[in-house]
Amino acid sequence: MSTRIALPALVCALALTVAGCGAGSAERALGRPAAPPAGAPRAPAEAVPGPDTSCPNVLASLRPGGSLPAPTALPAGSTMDTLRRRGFLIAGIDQSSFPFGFVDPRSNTLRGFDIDLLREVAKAIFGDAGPNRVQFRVVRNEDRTVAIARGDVDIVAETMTINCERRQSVEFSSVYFRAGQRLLVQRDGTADRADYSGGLAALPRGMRVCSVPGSTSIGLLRRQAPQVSVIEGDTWAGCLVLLQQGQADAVTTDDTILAGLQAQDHVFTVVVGDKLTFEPYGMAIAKNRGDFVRFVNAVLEQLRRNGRWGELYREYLGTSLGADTPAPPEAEYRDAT
Amino acid sequence: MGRLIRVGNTTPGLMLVTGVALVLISLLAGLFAVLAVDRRADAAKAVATGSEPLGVKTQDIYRALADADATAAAGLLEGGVESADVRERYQQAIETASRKLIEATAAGASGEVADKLAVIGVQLPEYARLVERARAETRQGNTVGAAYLRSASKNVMRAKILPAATALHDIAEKRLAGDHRDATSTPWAPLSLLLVALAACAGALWFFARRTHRRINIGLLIAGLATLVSIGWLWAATGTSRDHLDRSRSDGWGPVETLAQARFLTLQAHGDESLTLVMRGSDNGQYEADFNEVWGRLVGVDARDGRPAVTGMLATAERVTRSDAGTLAKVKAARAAAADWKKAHEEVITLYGNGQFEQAVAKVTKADGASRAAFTRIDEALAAAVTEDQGDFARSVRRGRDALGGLGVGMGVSALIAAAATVDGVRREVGRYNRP
Repeated sequence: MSTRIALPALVCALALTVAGCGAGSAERALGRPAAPPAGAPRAPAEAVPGPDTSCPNVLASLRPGGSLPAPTALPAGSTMDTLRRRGFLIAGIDQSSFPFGFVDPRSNTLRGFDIDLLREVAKAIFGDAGPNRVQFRVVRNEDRTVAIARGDVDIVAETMTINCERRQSVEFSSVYFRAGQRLLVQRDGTADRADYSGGLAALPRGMRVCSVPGSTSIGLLRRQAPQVSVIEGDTWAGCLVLLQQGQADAVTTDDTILAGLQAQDHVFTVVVGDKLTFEPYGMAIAKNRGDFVRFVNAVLEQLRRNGRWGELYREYLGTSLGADTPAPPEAEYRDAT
Repeated sequence: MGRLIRVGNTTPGLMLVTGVALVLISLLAGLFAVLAVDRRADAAKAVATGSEPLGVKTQDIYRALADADATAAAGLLEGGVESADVRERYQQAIETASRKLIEATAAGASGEVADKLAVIGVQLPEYARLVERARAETRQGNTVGAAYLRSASKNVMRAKILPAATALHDIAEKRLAGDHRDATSTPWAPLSLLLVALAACAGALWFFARRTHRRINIGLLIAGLATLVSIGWLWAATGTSRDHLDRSRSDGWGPVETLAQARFLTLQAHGDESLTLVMRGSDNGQYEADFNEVWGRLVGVDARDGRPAVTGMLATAERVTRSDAGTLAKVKAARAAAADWKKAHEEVITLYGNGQFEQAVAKVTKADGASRAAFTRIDEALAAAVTEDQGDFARSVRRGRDALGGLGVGMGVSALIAAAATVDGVRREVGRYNRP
């Protein structure tokens, strides 16, 4: 059992230069929210957005059972062993969430941060990253928890925010990405230099802000900024079209999506302001597959430590949200070592 | 004045008055008949050269636009560099639409037609601009290309251009129906005047016979016969013409209209299928829902949950073409292809749902892809059926116009003969009285 603590600690020690790794394992074990990474933007005037507090320790997942077992040494009878014998993993994804899950228009193949995480999980189970090791199923946002609960898919990686309501029907992996609602504006010399530290409430009267009906982002916008003119886009990309065509002044939603939009117009748009919300992304797995949750968390631990997380960040987010690659979000576990 | 009354009271005087009245009636009836035949021939000519060509043009415009909408989506779907045939088909569609638009405008459009043409003329470049932007973005690997295509398709093509094209087509069809009505109505006014003339002739014959103890005045008899010939000719020729023109509708533009509607639905479904994939789920199933709705209108929907059954456009097409073996065979081929398409479409949706995007796209965009092949078969079968029925239409209209040939002149000559014969007959009779 001692190796479970020793190994992460050792890796941390070896990688002291990596920011964010310094947060004590004790703090994590206690399940307290991780401290914001070094160099994080100044908190907005209102309360610092945090995770859902309507249930205790919503972000605390199941602790990995030691180091990642080799694909050939998966415990017999475990979920991973069953999957390995079946030969493929069934994963719920979205194809329209650039850059987390999208079809690359150049090759018509699936790519993205979420997609690559799933491929890493498959690699840990099967030992190879063959193209048929993951069977992707397009799952609509509102169907994600049902698809897991019904067993249609083994795992969902779909920019899914961990919250208490969802936690009632599914188990989540540890947090693999910390997103938050921000603003995208044109780099026209004015909009990009304005002060956005006041949050949505301080946006100029009549500013045309695009968001997608039905999203949590548009809800926050309507609640906090009644003075702006809300423009409804069909999709987030549709909001970018409106911004580019001069029919909107800003787009607001999770910075992950904004990063995707910014990357497609990287010279003339910029993501501005502080995070207005806290959206911790986790992979969803069935509640009765605790062994698989621990296994996926072990995979995530490995990706955090071996620099692969940073590679994925640079590949898919690049410098869209700032020049520096942030530290991976730290895992929190609810069970003792 | 007194003299006239005196003349009218004598037998020759009465004869003279009768003759003058008879001549006037004959000439008036003849003039009416000539004018009526002339108007009718104009209406038949309008069917052949005016309203129907406008109908064909508006149909072509709509088809080209819907084709562009469907093909633009397919081009974006292919991933990487779009294939030459898809690019050419899109360019061809835009070119055809622009050319037909200019032709329709140059043909002297006015009023509502000009307004609708203007809407299309203004919006088409905007549509093409957004599609080009969609392509440019896609070529740079930007997924926002799909959003530009959606904007082009939803906000411009389907919201502005296609409704204007539909309105244009409706106007053309109304015009055609009006011209057809004018060209096939029974010419009651000239017919009744001719009958009055005939009755007057008969009355005059009786009057002359009584006053002269002679049985028959040859002049008046000839006038009566000429009037009778006019009536028979007018009745027969307009009847034959009407039969042909009615056939031009029942075997021609009637089915063409149904076939064209089926073709439009096919194109829309093809566009929806492509757009479903282009959107990659970001449309929340909107294009798939639209596909199903369009599909219901194309192949019909069974009664369910208290909703009445819908007869599919293809079934309607089969009904309206059943008297025409050549066209019917093509419609049947289209229906068979539709069944194949539905099967292929379900496969596409399954592949898409399983994240096998490339395979799903291949079915929709590759020439040998099951979905595209079935769509092409329907489109070509319907196009051939339209061409065939347009041929039937042109032939029947030509026959209908031919049947009216010489009728106007005939009516005029006949009226002149009747008038001349009346004058001659009356002159001879009155001359006998004046002889000492």
